[in-house]
Amino acid sequence: MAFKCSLLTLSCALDGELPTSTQAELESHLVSCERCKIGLQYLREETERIANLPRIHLPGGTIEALLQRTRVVELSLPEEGEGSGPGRVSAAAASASASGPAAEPIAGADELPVAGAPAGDDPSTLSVEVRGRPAGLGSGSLAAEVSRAEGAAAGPAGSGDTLSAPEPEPRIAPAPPPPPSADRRAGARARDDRPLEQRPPTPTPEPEPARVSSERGVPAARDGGGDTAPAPGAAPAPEASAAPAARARRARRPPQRGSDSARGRDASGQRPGLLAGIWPRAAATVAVAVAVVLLGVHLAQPGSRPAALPPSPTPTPGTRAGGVGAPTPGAAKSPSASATPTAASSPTAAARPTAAPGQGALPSLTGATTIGGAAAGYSVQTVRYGLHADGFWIVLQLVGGHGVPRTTVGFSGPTTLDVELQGVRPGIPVPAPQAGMVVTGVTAGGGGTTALYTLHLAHAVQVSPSYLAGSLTGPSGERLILILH
Amino acid sequence: MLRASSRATARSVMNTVLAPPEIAASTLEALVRQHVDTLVTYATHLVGDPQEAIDYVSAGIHHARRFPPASLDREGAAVLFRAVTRACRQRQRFPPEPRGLAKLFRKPVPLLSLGADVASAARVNTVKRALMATALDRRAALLLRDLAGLDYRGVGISLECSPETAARLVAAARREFGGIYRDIAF
Repeated sequence: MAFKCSLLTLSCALDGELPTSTQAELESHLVSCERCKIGLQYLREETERIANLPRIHLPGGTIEALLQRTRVVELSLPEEGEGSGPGRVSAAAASASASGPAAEPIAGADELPVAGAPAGDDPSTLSVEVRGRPAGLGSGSLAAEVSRAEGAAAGPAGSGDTLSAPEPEPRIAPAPPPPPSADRRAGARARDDRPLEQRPPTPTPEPEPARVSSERGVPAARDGGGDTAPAPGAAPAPEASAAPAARARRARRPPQRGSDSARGRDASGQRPGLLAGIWPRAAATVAVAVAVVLLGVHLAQPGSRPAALPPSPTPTPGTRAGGVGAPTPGAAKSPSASATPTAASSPTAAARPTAAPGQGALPSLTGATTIGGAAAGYSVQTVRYGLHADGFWIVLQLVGGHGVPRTTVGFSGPTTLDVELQGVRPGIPVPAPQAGMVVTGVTAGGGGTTALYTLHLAHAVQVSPSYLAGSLTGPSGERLILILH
Repeated sequence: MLRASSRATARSVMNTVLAPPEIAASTLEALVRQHVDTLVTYATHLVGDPQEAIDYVSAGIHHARRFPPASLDREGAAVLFRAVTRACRQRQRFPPEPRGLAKLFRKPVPLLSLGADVASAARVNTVKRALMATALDRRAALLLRDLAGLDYRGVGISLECSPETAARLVAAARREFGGIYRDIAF
C-alpha cells in the first residue's frame, strides 16, 4: 500500500508528533519522493524562521511590578489588607507609631485615608484626621490626638511627607468637645494670610472661646466651624455676641439643607473645602469642551465624515471601510501607510492627489495617497503578484537607487489605479498577473525621472500602499507593496 | 430514588463543580515567574506591539489569578498561554482601558520597562510582516508551537481546540506563512 503523504503529515513529522510506525513509513517514502523532501525542507526553514524571532527577557523589577500589578504576589502574603497600599495608613500603624501614653486607637478607621499635620505649637503633639465616614461613626471626620514619644519626631506617621497638607475644612467636634486639630488652625492661618478685603466679614468667635487646650494654649471652638474660627491670638469676643453670630451664620447658609451633596456638603452638613463643590462641575465642563474639540478634530480629518460627503457616483459594493491589519504600524516607512484610498470615495478637494509636482502626468485622482520622499536612480526590477487572505498583493522591487521614492497612488477611474513613482526610470514594462485576478493588465508609462504604471482592475478595490522596511530590503533597493482589498 | 452512594457521588460532583479550585498560591506565582518571558515574547509577536502585549499578558495573568483553573497543576504553562491568547483575541487589557468620558479622566498607568530586548522584538522585518499577514489563530498556533515550544496538546489547550485541530492549524499556518514570506522576500 502506497504511503499517502500530505502537508499535515510532513508538519507532524517535523514536530515529532507522528506515531512511530507512520514515521518509519514516511522516512522510507522520503527516499523516493523528491516533492515531499522539498516540502519538508520548506517547513523546516519556516520553523527556524519563527524560532529565531527575537525574544524578550524582562528585567527583574518588571517581573515584580507585573506580579504586583496583577496581584499574584498578594496571594502568598498572609491576610494582607487591600487598603494597605500607598496613600493609606492603618490605625494599627498609626497607633504603633504613636507610642506615647496618650495614643488612642481609632475605632473603625482601619481602611480610611489619613491626613494630618504636625501640631504647629507643640512638636510633641500630632493631629491625625481620618476623613470619610465609616459605619458606626457619628461624624464625618474623626480627630485623634496622638502624642509622639519624645525623640520620635521623625516617625513614619509624624513625618511630613507621609501626611497630606491640611485643608481649611470645617469640622464639627464631637461631644465631649475635643481639642482643635491642626488643620483647622492651619486653615485659620491660611485665611489670615489673605488681604483684609478678602476676609469674611464677621469672624465672630464662639461662645466659649476661653477654653484652652492645656497642651497647646490655643483657643478651641465648640462649633468647629471653619468660617468663624478665630485666628491664633485673636481676642475672644463676649458671650453675648455669640448667639446673634450663630444666627447670622445660619442665615447666610442657603436654605436647601436637603441638597447637601449637590452643594458640596457631606451628609453631616459640613462644608468641605472651597473647591469641593466646584470641581465636579468644572471637570464636567472641561470634559464636555474637550469632547467637543476632539469631535471637531475628528470630523475635520478627511475621510472621517462619510455621512457629510456627497453620494458616490460609482457605488462599489464589497469595499471595506478601513484597512486591514496586515500593514502594522511601523512596518511602513510612511506614516500614511494605513490610509486606504478607495475608488468609491467621492472626488472631494481633500481627497485630491497631492499634485504630482511638475509632472502633469497624473490626471485628477480619487483618493490619492502619497508615501515616500526624495529618491533617485531607481528602476523597477521585478513585479510579483500574490493572492493572500487579506487581499491581492503587488510587490514592486526597485533597485539601483537611493532614498525612498515618492509614490502617489490613486484612482483615475472606478477600475483604474495609477501608481506614480518619482525617481524611478520610466517605461520599464512589467508582466501582467494571471487571468482571473483583480488586476487585468498593467500599462507602463511616465517620463523624465517619473515612472507611471496604470493598473486596470476587474472591480473597484481599496489600496494600501507601503514600503517594506526590513533587513532583507537592504540599502540598494526598496520594495513597494500595494495591497488591494 | 437515589441510593446513598449515588447521592454521595452526586454531592461530590456538585462540590467539584461549585467549589472553587484550591490552587496553591505559589503554583501560579512560580509558573508566571518561569514563563513570563515566553508569554511576553509570544504576545508581542502575536499582536505586534510590546506595550499592548504586556497589557494582554497582565490581563491573562490577572484572569488566571482571579479564576484559577483547576488544571493549573496538571497543564501548567498551557493554561497561562490560553489566558494570554484569549486576552489578545478579545483585546482585554489590564488595567482595563476606560471607555467613554472616563478616558478624559484616566490616570496615567506607569509603563513597565521591557528591557533592552524589546527594540529588536518590535522591529518589523520580513518575517514579522509575513507573520502579521497570517490569520490570528494560525499565527497563534505557529508561535505556540515554534516559538513557545508547546506540543500539539498544549497548543490545543491554549487555543481551546483538540490536538488534532491544533496539528491542522499549525500545518496550515506554516503553509500560509511560507507563501506570504516567499512572496515578499525574494
